[in-house]
Amino acid sequence: MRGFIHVLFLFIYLFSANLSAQNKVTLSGEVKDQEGIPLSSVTVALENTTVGTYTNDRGYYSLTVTPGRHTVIVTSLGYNTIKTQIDLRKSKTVDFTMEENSVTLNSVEVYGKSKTQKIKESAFSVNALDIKPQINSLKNLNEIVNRTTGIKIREEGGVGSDFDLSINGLSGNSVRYFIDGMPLDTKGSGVSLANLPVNIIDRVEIYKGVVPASLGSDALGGAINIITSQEKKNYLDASYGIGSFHTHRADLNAQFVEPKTGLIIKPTVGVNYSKNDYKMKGVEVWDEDSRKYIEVNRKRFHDDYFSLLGQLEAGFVDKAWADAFFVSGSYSKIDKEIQTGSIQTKVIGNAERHSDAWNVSARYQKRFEKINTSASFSHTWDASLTVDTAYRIYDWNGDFTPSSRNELNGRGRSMRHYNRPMTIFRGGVDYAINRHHSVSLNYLLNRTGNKRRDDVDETFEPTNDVLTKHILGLTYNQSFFDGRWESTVFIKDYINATSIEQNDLAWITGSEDAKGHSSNSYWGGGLGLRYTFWDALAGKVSYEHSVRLPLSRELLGNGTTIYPNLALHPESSDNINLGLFGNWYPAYGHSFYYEVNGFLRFVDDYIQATVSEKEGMMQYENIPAVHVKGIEGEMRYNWKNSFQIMVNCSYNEARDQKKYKTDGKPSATYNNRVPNRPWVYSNADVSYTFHNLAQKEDNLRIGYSWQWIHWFYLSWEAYGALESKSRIPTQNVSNLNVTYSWMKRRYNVSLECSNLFDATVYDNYKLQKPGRAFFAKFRLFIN
Amino acid sequence: MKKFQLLFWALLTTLFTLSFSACSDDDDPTPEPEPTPEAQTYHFDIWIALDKHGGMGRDVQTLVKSIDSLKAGSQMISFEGDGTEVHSVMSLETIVKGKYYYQVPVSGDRFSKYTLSNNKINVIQEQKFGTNTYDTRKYTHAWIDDNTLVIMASNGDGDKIIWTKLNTTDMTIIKEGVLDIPLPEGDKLFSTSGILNYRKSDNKLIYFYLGKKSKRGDTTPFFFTTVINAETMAVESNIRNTMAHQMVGSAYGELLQKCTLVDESGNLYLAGFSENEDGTEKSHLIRIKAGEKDFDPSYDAFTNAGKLVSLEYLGDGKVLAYARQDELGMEIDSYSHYYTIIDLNSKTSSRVKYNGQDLPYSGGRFSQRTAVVDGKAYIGVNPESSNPCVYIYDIKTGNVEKGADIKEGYYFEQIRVLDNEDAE
Repeated sequence: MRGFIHVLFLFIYLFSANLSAQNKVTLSGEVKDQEGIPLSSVTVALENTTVGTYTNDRGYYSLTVTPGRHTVIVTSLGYNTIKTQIDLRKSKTVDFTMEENSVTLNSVEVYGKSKTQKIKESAFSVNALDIKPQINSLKNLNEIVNRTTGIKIREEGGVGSDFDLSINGLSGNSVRYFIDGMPLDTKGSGVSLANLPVNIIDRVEIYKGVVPASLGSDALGGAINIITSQEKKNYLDASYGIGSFHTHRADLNAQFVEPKTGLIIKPTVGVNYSKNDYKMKGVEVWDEDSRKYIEVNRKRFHDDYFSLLGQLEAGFVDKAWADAFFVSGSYSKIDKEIQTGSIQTKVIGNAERHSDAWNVSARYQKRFEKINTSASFSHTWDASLTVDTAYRIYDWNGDFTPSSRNELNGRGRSMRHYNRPMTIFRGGVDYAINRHHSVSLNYLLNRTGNKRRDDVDETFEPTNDVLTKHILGLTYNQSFFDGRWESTVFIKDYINATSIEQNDLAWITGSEDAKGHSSNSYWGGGLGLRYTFWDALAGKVSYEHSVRLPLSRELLGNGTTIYPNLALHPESSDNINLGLFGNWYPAYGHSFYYEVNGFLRFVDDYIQATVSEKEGMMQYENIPAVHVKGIEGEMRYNWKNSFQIMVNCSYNEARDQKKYKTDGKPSATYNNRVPNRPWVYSNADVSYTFHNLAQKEDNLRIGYSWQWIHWFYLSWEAYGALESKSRIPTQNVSNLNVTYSWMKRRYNVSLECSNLFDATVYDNYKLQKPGRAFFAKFRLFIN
Repeated sequence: MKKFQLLFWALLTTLFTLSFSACSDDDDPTPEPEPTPEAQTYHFDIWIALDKHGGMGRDVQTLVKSIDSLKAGSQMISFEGDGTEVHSVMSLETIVKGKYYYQVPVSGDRFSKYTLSNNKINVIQEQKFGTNTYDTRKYTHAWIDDNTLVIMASNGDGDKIIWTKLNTTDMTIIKEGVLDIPLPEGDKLFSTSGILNYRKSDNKLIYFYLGKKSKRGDTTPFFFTTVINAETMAVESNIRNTMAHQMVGSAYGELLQKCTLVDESGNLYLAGFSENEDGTEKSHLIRIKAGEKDFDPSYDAFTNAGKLVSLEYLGDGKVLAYARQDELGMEIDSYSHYYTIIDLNSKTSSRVKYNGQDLPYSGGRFSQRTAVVDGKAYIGVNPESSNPCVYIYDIKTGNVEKGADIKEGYYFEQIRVLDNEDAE
């Protein structure tokens, strides 16, 4: 920690000088429409150069240019293009007012950088996905996130199936999810990337390894922050999709601005339903005639999934007392049948899960000169129920043999309720010292309860645990050389408060040392630096010593099969990222982007479930974990916003760092590649958009995407004859989609064929995923 | 010098002549052919686990390697790029007889018969569960004859003891049912598997079981002994014993470790233990005499302190036992486990020695690293200060020689001996 503070002071000292660029002037200003409403994402560019930018949310733009006479072009879809000559001998402010035009431009030049591109080019290692261009054909968020560099989502089946998302090789609890900076759990424990309505999403930010303090997170491997659309106009966005395997999806997202008071009302509804009755190829069923298990194709028969998310948000923006103030209430409901265990030979025909969650929240934002303040509060009543009361052993014919055990874990009948009330408070203050320096202070309080009971299992003893986390973050930002140098240094304090009453089995649980109420503090921190040499070459490096506090299940057990371990430490990791990226505009209409990133993750005190002495009992323990190193790259090419191609490839290698076995002797798996995880994978997207094809202002987009995952072993690869080892075969999946939009994108129809060649694809433990599937979606967008 | 040479040649000539004269008296002048050793008809399977001990967690990588000989001199046994990976199909808890493995596999919906050869699992025959269903790993078994296997366990709710009789030639279910025994008084359920054995002398199955007051609670001492007619499966007696609180390792039957044996006279021996008032355990090796239905109250052949873990009958009243010296550690991995030979007649035991030294203490409580074949007992050890290895105990002479070495780094779980697939 002391070393870190030294680095921090050195950093501040070295760059506290007020540096500025030479021989450049700044052209800045605001772009509004005729009603004076600031216009975001407007292109402001210099003619016949590659200099350009986009306006921000408040309509502001800023360009750094060489002094002289320039022709400035201001363009935006649906507005008349402004073209004007400006003599720039010194920095100047020029505002533009744009007039609406029924004639839409054929295309908008990519001169500057979109919001997502700017985020990608921050000092952190971050992916930013612009959801809007694909919203017409998108089924769920997982689809697009899974195609980004360094991310791998491993699903267990079809719509609504459990999934595991890894960022640069770290997954599970080490990745945290947020929506507009608040933990996604606040919408309910069943709400995930897979069922969130896509229409509400503007972009997704994926932080790899190094997570900004502003998110107030104890993520170890990274964080995903979903940013919802913050348009200030009235609109109605409704869509309905229907697809193979009885899949239906409907989303409604609207905004109404009451002109007199400025009250904004935003209703959102998202519904998913699927029977997921896709064909399972080559599954075993018993054939009485031949007295053998034979391989057949059978449809899944117990995998219905239903999700509902409804939300109503109301508030004001741009008032004297608040830049933004919103209150919202939401309800989510998930009903899910379970079809298989962790292997597909374990067929389940009756067990199911249900969850319901109510949430109320409020957020407030206000800027005072150089100080920007924000605060959010949220409380969630989250209840889930796992029903496992059938004593049956099912097969893939859908037949069953009566048994005397439940389906999920071979124990007694169970109707297990989990009530997890969650209270979150998040506050932040940003202070811009001057144009080069700023600091921010963030605080997050997360109080989670975990109350369990069982309606039918008399042996289950109800428990009620509470965990409280306080995460405090202090960030210092620098920006020099007209933004070419950007750096960030942050420290985080993680405080974990527990209230432990139990004192039985002290020799197993360590409860004697925990002693009732206790509170522990852990420090972490990091830094990030980006320097742009030229547009075509920029480099960035970031580091974080990250900490993840144990979850209640890990610390306090589950009351049945998991012993508490009150001596559990948080897991920690030293994460390092090093990247190069650049934009290149070789000629008019052509733009090219590339990035290459290398990363290292040194995870320690990894929290892992280990089998305890008694049959079936588990306990979470701290173990030396893994070292992950890898490299990833992405290239994108865009021609006049018509033709786009993207290719990325990721390689990561995770090595086991457990030197000794439980008996104290050397472990054979030390420094071996950790099994059952994809380590080389690639994605490619190509699309072409035709404009004004059948009528004015229509678009036809044809897109093709391809995903490839190299085969990998399910077990330690060095041991056992290769021919006897289970492995997930190489996966090649092609998807094709066609989207037609007309009437200024008011009407949109898309058709998609996923897994075009009907490849048999697997994921965790060879759980088969759907084969070829079709999906049609109609979207109405009235703006 | 010349005189000596002359004398030497004279003696040599005399000896040669005499011997030639002796052979001439022989009825059969053709020389006797060298005896050719009989081809070995069995092999050893070494079971190891990576990551953590096998048997208790599904995700543990379990590997099996077939070895013809466990004698010293061959290369160190390694699983690098070698051995059959079995854990996605088979569990470590298995029944071995002749050429085959029998078990309720990981899928938990059938009875299976396998061989392991050429680094793969060969499914010989399977049988879907009938009325009675069993959990992987949690059952006990006994062989009535070479082709008749009885599987027995408490059901999931623990309110019944169920059984299935299998014809292992074709794996058909001969019969299945529920054992007619009541729950022990005051108890709410039966414990997991119990221990089943077969006494050929009077065609009886003998079942040892315990009751519990709740699913998560401890078992209630003392255990019961049920004598069952192996033909009809009718219960003939059901007696609570007074000598030991529990049987050893009752959760997995004898799928991992053996705790019973029947001697040449038909006496049945069982390893059990009782809990002392101070919380320590006292182990027992107790006996039901041939034809009897309850334990001999005067007999306990295990007089050592510490826990008796597993048994391997060597014949002629001698038992190879794996036991724990508690003061050296009571954890699964404590290097406190040792091998001793128990004399069932004298009720004495003596540590197995090599070169005059006791075999080193081993780590790993749930291991059965012993096999008896061809007059020899193969004893696997996992010492603290060196790599795991095998010692070979000659049952007749008591001599011990050092056997094969196993590379460091694995959890050395089992030695199983099986007939070769091409054996008669």
